[in-house]
Amino acid sequence: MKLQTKHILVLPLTIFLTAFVIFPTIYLWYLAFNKVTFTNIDNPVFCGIENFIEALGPTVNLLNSILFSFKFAIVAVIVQLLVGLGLAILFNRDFKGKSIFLTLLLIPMLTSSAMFGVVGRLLFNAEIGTATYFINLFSRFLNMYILPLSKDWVFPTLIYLDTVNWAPFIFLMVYTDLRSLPREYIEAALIDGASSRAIYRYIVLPYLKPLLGVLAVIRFADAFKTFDIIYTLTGGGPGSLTTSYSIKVYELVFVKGNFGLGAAASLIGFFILIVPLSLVIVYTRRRWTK
Amino acid sequence: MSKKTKDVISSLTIYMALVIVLLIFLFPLINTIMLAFKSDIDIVSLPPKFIFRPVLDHFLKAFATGGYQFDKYFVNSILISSLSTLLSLGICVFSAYAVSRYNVGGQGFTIQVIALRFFPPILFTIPFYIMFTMLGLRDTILGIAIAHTLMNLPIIFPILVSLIDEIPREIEEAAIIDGCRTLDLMRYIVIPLLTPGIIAVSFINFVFSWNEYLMALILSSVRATPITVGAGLFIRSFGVQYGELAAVTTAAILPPIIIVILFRNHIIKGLTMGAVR
Repeated sequence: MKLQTKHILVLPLTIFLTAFVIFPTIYLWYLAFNKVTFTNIDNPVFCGIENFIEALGPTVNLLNSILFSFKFAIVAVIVQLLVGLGLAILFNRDFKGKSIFLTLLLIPMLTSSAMFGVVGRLLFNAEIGTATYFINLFSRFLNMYILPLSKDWVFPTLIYLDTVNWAPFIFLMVYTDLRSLPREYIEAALIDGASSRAIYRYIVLPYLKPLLGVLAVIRFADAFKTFDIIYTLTGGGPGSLTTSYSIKVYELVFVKGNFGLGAAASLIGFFILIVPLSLVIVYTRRRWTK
Repeated sequence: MSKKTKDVISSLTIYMALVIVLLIFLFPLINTIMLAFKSDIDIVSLPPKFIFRPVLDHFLKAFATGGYQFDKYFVNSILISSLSTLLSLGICVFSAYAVSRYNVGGQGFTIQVIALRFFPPILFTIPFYIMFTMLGLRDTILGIAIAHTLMNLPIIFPILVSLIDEIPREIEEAAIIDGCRTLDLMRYIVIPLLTPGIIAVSFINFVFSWNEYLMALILSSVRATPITVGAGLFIRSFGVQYGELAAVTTAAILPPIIIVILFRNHIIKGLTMGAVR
């Protein structure tokens, strides 16, 4: 009797996952091995691993996009972890109006990434961008004219916007963890005459390390698959400079209409992401659960 | 230096640091909101104006008189996010209870749901586009809500499991001894106790669904377009109209901001519980 009830309770989730995860995954693999375009969605033609070969070939240039995604993810994770950690340390003291500052800082975290791209377009616009104006007020002294969305500067601009969007999340997690650090640890260190620098170095950072590891993994995976903010900021350009893995697949499928090729490309990218990621997870788990 | 002056200086440094931080983090959004209220002449004036006479022209044009459909897109966003929230709760609450209390599916079940987070959404867009077209779900509110529910499951589900874990079992055990059946148990004990948690999860799901872009972009064409996708149209389809673009973007970012300001504690509690496990 009890056995039945508990299975009925998980029925909705099981059905949902079967219909919208398991079945689509099988279908995706099926598409990857067939020639399917907008015109023949109803009758795909089996083509073996041709799609995979074409995706890795020079015309599609998938590996370039995957490389860009890796570069973006690594830089984004490092910058955002540092900024998030710095903010958490800044907030880890008592001052008046703290809850107001905290609320304001959390706003970017719950703002749409896609809209951050648009916001960036307006802020860094060549004609009306407020930031462009002020940046060039200073860069004039260096004899430079900086267009934040041009090919030389688009990457730092993108990292800045993504950091504004995501560092508050890292901050919130680190800050919450920091608050639960037992007071006695720090009091004991203070009695022993430790400097505040030594306290951060030998008590706070080791305490935060497992969390920082988890956040790095989560954020890396998220950043690797980034679509929204890049697509609305640059559309993958200038040229194909900021074409991330997800934008590349999007173009193959929904611009060029090649479902089979796009499916193969998406799977290649997924496995290239998941192999190092699972290695990192296994490695960190073994080290930190001891 | 006396201790008091030292304190004043150190608190001044902190406030200065905080103001700079907030400027770095909020200026992009403030700039957009200001542009939305500037007249066309003020938008293009250099140096940028920080004090200007606010006008509503761009909002009126985008949402009423301009012949665009952003009023409809805004309503679509509300409908999609609400429906997705209802779907997520309907799917997750009972299952989370079963996982928490009866350990259905064993230890790995929750982890498998969380692992969905590592699947790039772009993987799902390809089969979804074809499946949803065949099922008649493409370009419908329901279709996009379903896709958003899938995106939110790995966040919502573990939060609900840990919230239910927090409810002491003794209350339920006492009720079972009194002859209470599982569904009544949920209705009269678990769900009332879970209400604050359900509210937190609802806000999170609503905001995440509101903000989602890729699935909505692919699954909508005319009827079900949400505001985030609509704002993107200004870049690609309607040419450069900074004021209108800023007005639509403002309308797209404000609802989540209002929710954060009003329900900060709910959201923080939910997010810090579920995200890192």
